[in-house]
Amino acid sequence: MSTEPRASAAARTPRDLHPVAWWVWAIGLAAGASMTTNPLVLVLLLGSVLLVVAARRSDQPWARAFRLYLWLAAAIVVFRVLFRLVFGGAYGETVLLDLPEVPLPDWVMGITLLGPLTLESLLVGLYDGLRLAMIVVCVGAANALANPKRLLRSVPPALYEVGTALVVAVSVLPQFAESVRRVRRAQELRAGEQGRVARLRRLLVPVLEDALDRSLALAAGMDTRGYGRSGAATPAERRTTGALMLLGLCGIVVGVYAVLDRTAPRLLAVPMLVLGVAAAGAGLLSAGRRVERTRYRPDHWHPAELAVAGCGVLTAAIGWWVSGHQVLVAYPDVASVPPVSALALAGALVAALPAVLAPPPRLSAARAAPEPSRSTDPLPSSTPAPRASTR
Amino acid sequence: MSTGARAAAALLAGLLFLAGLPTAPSAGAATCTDGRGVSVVVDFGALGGGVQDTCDADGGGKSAATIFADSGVALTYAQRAAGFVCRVEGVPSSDPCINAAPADAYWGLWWSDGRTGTWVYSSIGTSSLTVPAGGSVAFAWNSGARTQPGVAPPVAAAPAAPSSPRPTPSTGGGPGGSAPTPVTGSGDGSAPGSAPGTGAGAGSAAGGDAPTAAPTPTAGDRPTGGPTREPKDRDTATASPSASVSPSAEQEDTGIEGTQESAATTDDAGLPGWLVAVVLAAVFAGAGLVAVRRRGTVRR
Repeated sequence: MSTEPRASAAARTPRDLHPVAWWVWAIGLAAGASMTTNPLVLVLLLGSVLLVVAARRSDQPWARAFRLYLWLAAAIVVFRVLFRLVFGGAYGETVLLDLPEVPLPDWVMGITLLGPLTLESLLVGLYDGLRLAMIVVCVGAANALANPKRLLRSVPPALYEVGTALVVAVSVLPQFAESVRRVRRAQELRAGEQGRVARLRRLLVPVLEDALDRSLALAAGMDTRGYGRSGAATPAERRTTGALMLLGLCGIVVGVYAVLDRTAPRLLAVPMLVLGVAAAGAGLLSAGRRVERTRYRPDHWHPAELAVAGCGVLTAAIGWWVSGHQVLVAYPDVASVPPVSALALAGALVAALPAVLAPPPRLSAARAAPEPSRSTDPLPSSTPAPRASTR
Repeated sequence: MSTGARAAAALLAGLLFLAGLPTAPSAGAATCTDGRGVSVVVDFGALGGGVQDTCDADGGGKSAATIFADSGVALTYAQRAAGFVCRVEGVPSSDPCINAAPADAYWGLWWSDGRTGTWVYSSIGTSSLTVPAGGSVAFAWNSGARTQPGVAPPVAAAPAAPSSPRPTPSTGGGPGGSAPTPVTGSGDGSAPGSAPGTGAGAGSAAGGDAPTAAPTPTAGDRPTGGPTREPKDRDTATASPSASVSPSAEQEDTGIEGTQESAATTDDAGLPGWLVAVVLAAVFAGAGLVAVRRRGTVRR
């Protein structure tokens, strides 16, 4: 949105927020959503996410994928309800449809197919499906708001090779799509076999050649700049790193199992999990020390980033508190209208604050327009700005 | 003398038997002894409360949930695991009833078809399990290993032969069960310790001198150890919240939500519905408005 001149002089300059801040916000929301099955609270959270995405989404191609996540969330709800109805077994008293029960052989004793369709089982499936769908929507919002290429800049140095491979993949993929388009247009001008398999082969070979050429050129360029050299790490350092990583892995596995299985001794649950995470973190630090690399124009954390991340953490904290102290609000009974407490409402609305706290995004139209017209001239430029998505 | 004494004894016994009648329902009537009703047993095990058994006279062929509701046993279901019974008669109240109980402390559902005399662990829930007439259904508290109910299921001696005109199960088989039969019928509790519980119950309510000539009664009861059935069992069971027979019988229609209040702290200051609806509408309208405005500026 264009900034109006009569707004305050410190009108917010459009910039991209640090991607990790968006991810912290989204994960906080997903954590808060996972701790409740109250459909009203979840739908309100969905509304907040939609508001933030609508307000702060840029127009890059990866930002347009949010709709797919919404469709995926709807599919999750439908499947959850269907599975509940088909395999759930009779539960509840308000029978909507008396479907016959499909008799199953004895060796599948625990499963009942169909049977009377009750309102209670429908609602239980709906509530649970909504919870899963909200988690998916939160992750989708993070994908739509945070620039994935800039996120790769924040990858810890220990995962440097993985990060490099991901950067190459993410940069090369748009070029791949573009070369497919180019080859297909060229093929239409030429005569050739028209069968489906033959047409595919005509398309595939030049595209693969193109991709191979590009990769070789990229590899040569990266090799010149020193990518692919493993740093100087002494055997002792390598042993330490390996030991720390293994310890961390074992600790996390044991901790996760003990947290989920309530019959396991409590000493193994959270303490082991914390120890495992600490060991894994130490291992990553130790592994990253051998990699020497610099970052070009690293993203800094400004107050806006902290505010956005803080909103996510606050939502998660409120969700955790409500699930512990206001159990009837967090896990409502299916027999009556679910109640909503003021705290739960506040938690869902806090999630929408980044719509105003975060700076407006940089749009490609503004990016391509010449400098003077953007700052002073409120009239739109006469020439349409090129919409090349090169970033 | 002997005839007079015998007559007096019989009269006394009969009076005591009749006196035992009204207390019997509250004392927890016996399991069904003819082949038509369904015996309902609740074994509290380590939770305290002994073994509670009643008879649902017309429960044959119905689902276990219906049978329990008809017998006045209040069941509470977990909120996130639909169909999982987390509390029976309100115990254990320490369970928040949100998720399924852990594998070492939960209510196990057992049933018997009335012919084998053994309990079978049910792998389907209360809403799907149907118990045949003459069978039994039980909830037993497992702490640690899986434990069977302490009372063996009664075996119908004459399956599906409603021959002998035994008084009663037909009269009002609802909550509390219809007590009168068991005493005479305890004879067919062939499995040791089974109906004995029943015979002993009514017997001990009447002061221990059960007028029946049933062979099994009191002697058979003691060896079963833990689940010593006394008439007080029902009272201690009713001491736990919402566990008395009549209120739960009224609650049986509301079923789940009737016992829900005890599940959680009651500090949910629920906001009025219209406020929530207004906020929802405002948020979604705001999102739509922002999206439309942005689409408009981009097109410009």
